[in-house]
Amino acid sequence: MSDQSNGHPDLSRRSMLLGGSAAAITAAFTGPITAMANTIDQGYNASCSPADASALVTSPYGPTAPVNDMVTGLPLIELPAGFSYKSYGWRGDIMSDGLPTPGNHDGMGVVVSRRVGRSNEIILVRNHEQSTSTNAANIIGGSRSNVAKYDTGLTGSDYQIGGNTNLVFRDGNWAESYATFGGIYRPCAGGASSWGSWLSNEEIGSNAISSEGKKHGYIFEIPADTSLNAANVNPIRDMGRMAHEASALDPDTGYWYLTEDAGNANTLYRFLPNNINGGLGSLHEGGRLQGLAVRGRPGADLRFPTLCQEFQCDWVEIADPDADRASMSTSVGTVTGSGPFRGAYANGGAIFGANEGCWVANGVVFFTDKATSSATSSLPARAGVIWALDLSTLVLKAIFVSRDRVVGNSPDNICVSPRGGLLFNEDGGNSSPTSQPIPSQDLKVLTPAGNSYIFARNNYNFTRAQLDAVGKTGATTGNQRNTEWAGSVFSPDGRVLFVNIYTGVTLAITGPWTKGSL
Amino acid sequence: MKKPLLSLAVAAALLAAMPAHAISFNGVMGGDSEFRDFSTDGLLSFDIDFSSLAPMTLNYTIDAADLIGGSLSFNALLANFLGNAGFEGLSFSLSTGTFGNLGTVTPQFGAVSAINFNGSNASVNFSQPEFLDVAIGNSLNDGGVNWSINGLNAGDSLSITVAAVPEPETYALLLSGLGMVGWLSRRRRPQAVAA
Repeated sequence: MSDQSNGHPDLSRRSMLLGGSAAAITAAFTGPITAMANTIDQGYNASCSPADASALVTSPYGPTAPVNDMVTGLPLIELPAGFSYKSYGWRGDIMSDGLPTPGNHDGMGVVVSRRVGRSNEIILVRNHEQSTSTNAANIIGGSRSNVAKYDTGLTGSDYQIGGNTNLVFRDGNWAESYATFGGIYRPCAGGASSWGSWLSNEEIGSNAISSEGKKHGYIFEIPADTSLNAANVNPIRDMGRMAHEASALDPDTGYWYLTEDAGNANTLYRFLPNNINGGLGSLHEGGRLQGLAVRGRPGADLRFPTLCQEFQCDWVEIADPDADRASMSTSVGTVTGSGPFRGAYANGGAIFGANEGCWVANGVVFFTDKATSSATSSLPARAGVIWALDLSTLVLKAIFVSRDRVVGNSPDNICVSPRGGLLFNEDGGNSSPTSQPIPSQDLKVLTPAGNSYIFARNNYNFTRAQLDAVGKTGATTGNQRNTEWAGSVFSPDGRVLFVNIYTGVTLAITGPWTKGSL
Repeated sequence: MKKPLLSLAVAAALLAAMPAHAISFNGVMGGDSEFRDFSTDGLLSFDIDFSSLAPMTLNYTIDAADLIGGSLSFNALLANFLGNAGFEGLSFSLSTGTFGNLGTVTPQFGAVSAINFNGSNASVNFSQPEFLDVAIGNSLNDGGVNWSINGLNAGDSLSITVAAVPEPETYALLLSGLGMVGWLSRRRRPQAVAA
């Protein structure tokens, strides 16, 4: 049942997969950006030091300090000298379509980057990881027929109020935002296609059926411009029904890599579309879902690796990606496994703690396991691991292993910059044990040697009066410094980092990126 | 009243029938950054993506049709692709003609502290360095005001040189690098042998 080949199709398909926005990007931005794109992948897989755990090192960008937002004047975050940012799309802000901006800003991606005349325009899709409400009015786009919605029925006594908004960043300024999808449960990390769309992934393990006959735990596709193509309300069933996190496309093959956030009951998944040429709706044509397995070690427990530890892996088939979740006995105990995990485990699939962010760059799948750091109970349970799977060899390597929340605090969403630097978004806690107090969640950078440094810190701590004074009457108050970062993604030209403070605000950051490794 | 109107109509018809004459782009001298020319009748217009600090000189030939209003309009979009340095300022110099009115300068993240011009030279300084783009005039068609260049004649060859001025620390790095090159060069120079 295992697949020991990497299964790469004809690489000429890459040009077809890049035929959408990526080709437009290349055509619009040549020279400087092409040079940066050629440096993707700094070789994390080759230069990791075989130590027991990662360490926090000094940032090449220098220390961080509070920096005022250029829009509101509030010091939302700490940044190194030389960096500045503009906020947009605060929770409660009225969007271009007249609807209020939903909260719980999570995964986000650039789906289009293009020149319009001489203007430089970027379209992003943002997840709002909202769960449920007893009030149907809270369904995103619920009052608008032109906003596609998957499920407006009741599950028990609740409506599903997660969904998506699209944002436009034009010529260095935020231009507009609007609701694009609703009626789903907690879209978390998600992932961008190369043809101008976004995969919005429900994070829920459930067999419940709504009053409209809908199940949840699926992936949906959101186009960049929903005035031309409304989001497809049908889920991509073959990508599985589970507590989805991220989905990352390998443009060389057309295959997708998926993570699941299910404690001690998840693995890394690979989706092989029937139509690997890509394009809007192509994933709805179905495909095969597979799980990762360690060769010769069925059900391998990968929750507690040491830094640089390697595993030779294979892919195993998943018979029914839409199967119900159920209790199951595994090598790490009795768990409730999703249909995809049960299918993978039955064929030898490996076990991770709780996988989160995922990104493919230059033939390597990078993904995080937020939940695990050590089998020793005296060490923090959510310090985190970052893995790298070399798609040419199927060797899996632990390239970051935190034993201390100061070093890595539950790495969640990740992205790789166009210059090859890996940035991770922390979503951890501040309870002991830690080597130092943890005043905030950070954006941290992974070094090629497997260490981390701080790029930015959450500094959100404002009163109602402070927020009202700058027109943010719907914004969350209080000390939110230990609220997670999410949705980090660079503009294709590498000059702007877009990122969310989960509390409910989106930022565009720019500065001297090449002083460090981002 | 009919005669002037008729004359205007005839003049307009003649202008429409004339072959297109307008500012013509003759290439770049110096600089290795990417550029795109958008010049049209009466408007000198280009984008430069600065990937190095080498000044860019763009060469044009002016036609009578460019000077119907008396002066040549100018706009540009100047992008920062230096990676490690912000634009502390920008400088412009003309081979012929002089800057007339300086219109708008719109940095996307930076802030303008001063705009100066003196004859054929103009400069812009930023109080907060710019890491993205700077719109000179109405290059983005967003209500900006184009600059003007006076004192030109049909047939003139016009060269405009644009330079990005980096932050002082970048200069320091550049100078220390040049110093190191000079020092190494001296070390490698063969010693004179005494007779």
